[in-house]
Amino acid sequence: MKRWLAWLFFALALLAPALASAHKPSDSYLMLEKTATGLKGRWDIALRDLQPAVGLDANHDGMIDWGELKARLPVVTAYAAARLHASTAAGACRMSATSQGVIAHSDGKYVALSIDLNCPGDAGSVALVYDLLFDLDAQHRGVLRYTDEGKMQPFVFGKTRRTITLSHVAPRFGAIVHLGIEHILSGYDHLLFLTALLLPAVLRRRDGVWQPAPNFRTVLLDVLRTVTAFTIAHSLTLALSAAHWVVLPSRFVESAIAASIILAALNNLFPVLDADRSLAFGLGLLHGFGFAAVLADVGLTGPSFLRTLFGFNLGVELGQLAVVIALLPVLYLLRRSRRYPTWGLPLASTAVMLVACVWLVERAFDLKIIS
Amino acid sequence: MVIARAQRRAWLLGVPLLLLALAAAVTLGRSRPASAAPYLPKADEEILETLPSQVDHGWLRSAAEAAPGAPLDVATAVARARLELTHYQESADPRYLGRAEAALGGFWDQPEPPEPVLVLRARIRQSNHEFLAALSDLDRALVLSPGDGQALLDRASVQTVLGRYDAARRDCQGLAGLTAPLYVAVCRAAIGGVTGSAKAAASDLSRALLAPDLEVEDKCWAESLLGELSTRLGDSSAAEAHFRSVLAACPNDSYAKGALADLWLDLRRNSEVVSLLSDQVRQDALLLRLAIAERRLKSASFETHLEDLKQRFEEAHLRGSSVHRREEARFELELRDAPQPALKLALENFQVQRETADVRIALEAALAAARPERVREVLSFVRESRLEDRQITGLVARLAQ
Repeated sequence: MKRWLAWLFFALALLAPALASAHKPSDSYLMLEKTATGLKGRWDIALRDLQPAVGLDANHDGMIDWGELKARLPVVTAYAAARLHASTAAGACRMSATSQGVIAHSDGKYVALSIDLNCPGDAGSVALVYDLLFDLDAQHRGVLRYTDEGKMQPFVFGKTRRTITLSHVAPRFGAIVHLGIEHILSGYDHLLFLTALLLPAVLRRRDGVWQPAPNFRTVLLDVLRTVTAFTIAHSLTLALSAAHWVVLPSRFVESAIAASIILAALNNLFPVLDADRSLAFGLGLLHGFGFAAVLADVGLTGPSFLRTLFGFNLGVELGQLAVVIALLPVLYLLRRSRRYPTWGLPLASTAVMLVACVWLVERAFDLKIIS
Repeated sequence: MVIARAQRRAWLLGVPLLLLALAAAVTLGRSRPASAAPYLPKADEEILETLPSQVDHGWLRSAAEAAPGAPLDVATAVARARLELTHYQESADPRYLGRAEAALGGFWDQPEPPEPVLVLRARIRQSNHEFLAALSDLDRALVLSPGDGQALLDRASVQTVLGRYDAARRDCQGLAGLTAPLYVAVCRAAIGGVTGSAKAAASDLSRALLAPDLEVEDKCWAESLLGELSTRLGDSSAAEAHFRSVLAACPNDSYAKGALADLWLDLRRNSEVVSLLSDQVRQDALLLRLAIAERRLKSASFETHLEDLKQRFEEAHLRGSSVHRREEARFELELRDAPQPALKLALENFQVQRETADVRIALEAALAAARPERVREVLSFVRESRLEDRQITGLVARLAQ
């Protein structure tokens, strides 16, 4: 006994510093994101760590195959779920964990669990209690990456630090503005609607015929009026919807937005409504409901409500402004071309309309035609 | 006039292009590089994990099923922890250290646990580079049981790593009669090698190795130290012969592999390093040496191994571990040409452990960063301890220029 211990001692003393980094200590990886009602994300746990805890190698051949893991997934999920608890001041959060399959980390395969924590009351501050594997591996760590308002914060659970309180930090104003900009620029339906409104802005309708607008100033004023009408309209419904005063089902809103684009494009082909403004305002109301859906995902509650609403709207307007500035010079240059009123405008409007038609069918009937 | 107008038009067209580019930048700037995603294996037969041979310990299963706080007797706890430490020694896999700690259960947290627990706790702490905590456990263990040769040997080792050679030497002297003569010889030689008497240490150790009936692991361990002493003295061919003979007797001896790789790297025998270590990618310290050789050879697998190492250091940072600072400093210096971060890591590491490799990386980083003033403390440590090493001597001379 003494001999091997003595050998072990020097092995550790002299060799360990060079070898301690060999392999990898036991870690689980928790990636959680703040939602309006709690937390959700993924939890990766090493198969090697689960083996002594729940027994995965059913045939004892020293290997874990997918069949063996699959058979034990309910046990694995229950084992993990019982070792992660969350609560708010109002009580315990409801935890649901489901398997997403496996994922590779540098030291082998991990089971990937989808985690959804549904919390009562104000989910602003959530206490997480982590109690996985410390009884079997005292140096086990739970590496948590917590994302709140797009900002990631790292935390580490350990044997002596099993509770971590995640406080909701009000997002920076810039981040909300950014979200608004991003939403308008990546939400093609709003851009397409705006395009449909702007296409005829460099022309004037006189005696049923399109004429080039006389100068840049009139074009600019006209566009300004249209965009302002759109902005007022969607800000209004965004506020109403974000405050939960008016709530519309999202499938209806999304379908109606597609329909609004069709109407705007049709109005270019067969001008019925003379003023773009009324069109921009009326249909703009619908788009506000669409924006509200994005804000709902962020979790718009508490005292920062107005600030968030304002910041997001500002971002949307900035993004919109960028599109207008990008589009206007091109259209202005095209305006004198004889082909623009006869070919350019109708063709562009038809193209916009076709895309919107596809969206309408997709959204109304919950299909996938174009990705 | 016409040209001016055309230019103005071109400018007008440039504005939307610029804005589009900006919009794309805003949108793309947010998306992070895609990381690996979970997947569902296609076939039931797909092997997901090969378990190490030391699988399914009975105690782990019973501990997993035991009620929290269930009573545990010292003998059981100590036996389980020893078993896990043996696995650690065989595999160098840090998971076994965590299991050893878990095996000690509630005894781990006691301020004054029984003596055998103290010795084991010290060993685990030492392996986690908590050298001072390990030292105080061993001090306490030796108060409780002054004749414990094991505790004394352990303490000598911790003192050596900390560079407290006088204290280490005292513990080695006290060992005579408490443990096997070979261990006493190794204890002395390890200190002699770093305090100006490497030559005498080597000949003493060679003599001790002539004793009959030595266990093969013991011989491997003692001969590795001989190889190290030869390296210090600049006798590369003797060193190589020692390491080769260790690897012939103990083919899985990672320490000898690392030491031989370092020797060859110094001699620029890079392709030999690659053939020695090409299947050692699981162990970061060996993978690091492999990658250094591959980089010099402009080998195709270098990029992959560099990425692997980067990921492993990142994972270590995520869990808040600093056990890898020596390797990480070498990684920064030799694989990423980043002497400043390397120097910072090496100096932090030097505050924790002071073996020759720790001294060397600090001096090399300071030299590469052209910041000799940052390693004054390291240089005086070399001088005061009379550290003998061919490489260190060269570095000290170059830093003095």
